[in-house]
Amino acid sequence: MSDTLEVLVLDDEPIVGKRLKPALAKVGCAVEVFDSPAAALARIAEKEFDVVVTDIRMDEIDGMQVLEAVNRKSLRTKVIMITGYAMMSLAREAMEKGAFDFIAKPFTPEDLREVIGRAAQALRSPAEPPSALAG
Amino acid sequence: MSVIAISAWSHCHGEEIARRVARKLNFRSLGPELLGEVADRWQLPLPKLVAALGKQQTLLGVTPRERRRLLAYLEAAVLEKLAQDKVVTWGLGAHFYVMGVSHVLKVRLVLDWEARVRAMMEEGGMNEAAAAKALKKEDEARARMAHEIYRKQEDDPTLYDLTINLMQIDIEQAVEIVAEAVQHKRFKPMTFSRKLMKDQVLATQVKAELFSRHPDAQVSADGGQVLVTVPAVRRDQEKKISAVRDLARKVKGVASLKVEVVNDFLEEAAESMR
Amino acid sequence: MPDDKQPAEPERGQAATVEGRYERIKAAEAARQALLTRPRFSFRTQIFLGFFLAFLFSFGIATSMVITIYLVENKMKFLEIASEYVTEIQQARRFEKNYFLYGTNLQDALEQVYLAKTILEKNSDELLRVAGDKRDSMIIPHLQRYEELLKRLAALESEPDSPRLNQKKKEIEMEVRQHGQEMVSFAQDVMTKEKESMARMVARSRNIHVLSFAVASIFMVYIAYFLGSSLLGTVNRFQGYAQRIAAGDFTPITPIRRFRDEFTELAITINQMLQELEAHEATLVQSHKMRAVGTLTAGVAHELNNPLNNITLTAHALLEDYREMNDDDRREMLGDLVNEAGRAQSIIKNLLDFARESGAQVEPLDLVALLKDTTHLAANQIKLSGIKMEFSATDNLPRVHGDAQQLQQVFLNLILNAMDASPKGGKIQVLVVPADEPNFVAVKIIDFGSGIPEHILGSIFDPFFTTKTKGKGTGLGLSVSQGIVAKHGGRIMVSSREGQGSTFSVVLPITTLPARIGGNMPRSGALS
Ligand SMILES: Nc1ncnc2c1ncn2[C@@H]1O[C@H](COP(=O)(O)OP(=O)(O)OP(=O)(O)O)[C@@H](O)[C@H]1O
Ligand SMILES: [Mg+2]
Repeated sequence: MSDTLEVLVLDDEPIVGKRLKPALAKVGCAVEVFDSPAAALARIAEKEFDVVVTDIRMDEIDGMQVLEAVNRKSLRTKVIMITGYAMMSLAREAMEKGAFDFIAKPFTPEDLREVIGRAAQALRSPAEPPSALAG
Repeated sequence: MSVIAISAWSHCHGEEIARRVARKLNFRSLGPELLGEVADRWQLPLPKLVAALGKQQTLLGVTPRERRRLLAYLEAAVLEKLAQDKVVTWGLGAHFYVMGVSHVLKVRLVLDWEARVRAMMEEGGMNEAAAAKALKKEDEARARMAHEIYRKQEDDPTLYDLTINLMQIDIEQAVEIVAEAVQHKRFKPMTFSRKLMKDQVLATQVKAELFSRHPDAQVSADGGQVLVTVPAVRRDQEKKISAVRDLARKVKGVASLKVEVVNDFLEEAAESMR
Repeated sequence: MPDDKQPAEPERGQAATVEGRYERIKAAEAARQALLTRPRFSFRTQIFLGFFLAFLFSFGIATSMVITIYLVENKMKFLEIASEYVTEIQQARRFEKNYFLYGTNLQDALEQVYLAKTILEKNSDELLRVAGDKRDSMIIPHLQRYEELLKRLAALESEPDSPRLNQKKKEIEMEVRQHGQEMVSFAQDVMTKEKESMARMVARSRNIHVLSFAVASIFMVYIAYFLGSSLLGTVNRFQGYAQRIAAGDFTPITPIRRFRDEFTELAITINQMLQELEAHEATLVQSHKMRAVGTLTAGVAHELNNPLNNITLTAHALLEDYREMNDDDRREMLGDLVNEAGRAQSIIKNLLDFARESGAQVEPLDLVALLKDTTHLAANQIKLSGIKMEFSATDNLPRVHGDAQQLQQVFLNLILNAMDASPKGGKIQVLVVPADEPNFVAVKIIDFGSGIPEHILGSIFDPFFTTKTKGKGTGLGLSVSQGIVAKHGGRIMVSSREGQGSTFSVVLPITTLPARIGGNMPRSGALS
């Protein structure tokens, strides 16, 4: 991984951001952490990230709205949804709306690094449709 | 890519549609031919395996216990294949045990009774009454199986993502619809669904491994962590735990293993009577 | 059953449950004793007694009637005899007169006297009864003397040459006339007397009949009224019991009257039935609660994933970077671990507390705190369905007397109903305020969902009434809730507009009016 990956992490549980920031920085990501969806949306409007990691269940604004906002901003950005409320219908909805991946809590930092690795790969070969786990 | 599970009563063109969808998408078709493989792998009697699925009757039938055993092996084998993706499965009851996996498109085919009876008449060369009778018996056996093992009603449409009425839509188009539907992004695999599938595979494999010695074991898996719950009388609990451990460890992919014993009140009561 | 999960706590719950049951059995047994120790005075006895008295009375009347008739009959017979006698005597006297005037035959007169004598002899007993000793002192001597005189006259006639015949005749004539006179007047006298007495007797008997008829009617009316009212009263009383039982008050029936009767057995059977009903109801309430718990677990399990995720991430961070970290970082992470574990525990604890089998523990409760717990319990589930919940309460509300778990179940049922009725993005308001009537507190659960159509509003509290699909609703929520609230001396009220939402209000009496839970003690209203 030569060039740095611009990552935004949004979760209303502050600990998630606190732990993921160093964990992702380790593999060469430039991480911005938010625990307020409104602030994160404002930032997304300003800047095109490579990867956005967002929680789904949050007060005020939920992760699906964040996903839509990211899609409006740039279709290139890979959105990874993380949620404690993982259900089949929710997962399918997220994928349909164009999420890159969907992870159920609890997950390990390694789990996320793996997914972000695949996202980076997909970013590098944009010709291929982002069929995340193909093969 | 995704997986397609097709469910239908017999003589509803299940096999034909499954094969054609598989060809169209370049998926593998996984049907009852797997049963032979399963029988060989675990040395099981093939006719009984077929009967366990509620398909054909053997002379003596299958006891519920035997059925659970045979299906434990079958589930392990089927799930192993499904985890490899790009599979159209049919005729193996897979729709029951991949219920919660989001990248499995669950399709139900329906055809009306008269058409099925006609198909049965042609196939078996019987008269209408005999065909209807045989068909009815078969449906009943399958419904019983579905209820006994999975507590589900197989023709409940809410179990499926897609139900196709073959009286109104011809086979050609049904194949197209299924092939198209599975392309929707919502049926794409993801870490979450992949993990569910893997855990399911692991759980069924552990269960199959344990079944001959511990038929009452309940197995669940979460991220490679396997939880086995077995009933045992109090003084045998230590022994039981280590016996289960030894067996379950053999299964590939078990990251950690936890064995829980619940008190076998029935057995304890029975012993105290002796 | 939470037994295997939290070994210390359930014992308390269990003990309380056992104690609660024991209390109830004791109350029922006390009621049974009280019912049975009264002297027995059954309705059968009462009816028998009533009819027996009526029989005695009419028997008396009939007897007196028979006697009167008998007496009147006697009198009539006597009067007949008397008049015969008088006729004979009068005839004799006519002959006697003829003799004296025209010297006719005396023999005819004697004949008549003889006849009169036979009449007297034949009826001497009756005569004795009517005339008493006058028979022997007056009637008979007069007649005998008269006969003797006539005989003497006849003797005188047979010897016509006897001296002083005429003079002797004269003397006898005097005496004969005197005796004849007296005989007739006496007989007539007796006859009049008898006639009068008979008239009196008839009149009296008529009076007695009229009077006894009146008395008999009054008596009958009284008996009918007495039996009827005590029977009907009891039947009405039992109807009242049935109503209060139907309303969920399982207080045993205790004695009201001084006597035991057939209804006592009924009361005892009902008390037994109540005990069983109560046991069944407890099971029903518990199983409905477990269903609610089932509904909540989805939300709770998901909620649990957040602290679990925090723990997983933190623990992995520690594992990976332990060496590079300074003490402060490590301490911070360990602190996070401890906090998140605590958070996870509190998420489950709330639910487990609620799930535990209720022991009907009655205590003064702070409704506001109770509702905060309840809304917290349901919060995840509600968030999952994308519904907002608003909570507001009046400060310093008085406490209510009740069983926290049971009331929590009521509020949870109402909140879950509101949730089911609300659309995604909807809102549920929970208010705790003083009720309109003094000494009551109201909890209002307001939704802005589908509302309840007018025509089903009357049936929503019925057991098993549901408009939800099979897996979703049992239709027991409101029925169970109503039972619990009734036991707390409160009420559930509903107002709803179709398409605009519903308001369910639970009003509960504050602690100054303690309600009895578990139905052990008689409620003042129920038994008066
Ligand atoms: N807040 C509400 N808004 C609209 N309808 C309601 C509301 N509360 C209750 N109802 C109606 O009353 C019926 C009975 O409610 P109840 O709580 O007794 O049973 P349920 O909710 O159907 O089943 P369960 O409580 O066992 O899940 C419901 O089916 C529903 O039609
Ligand atoms: Mg309800």
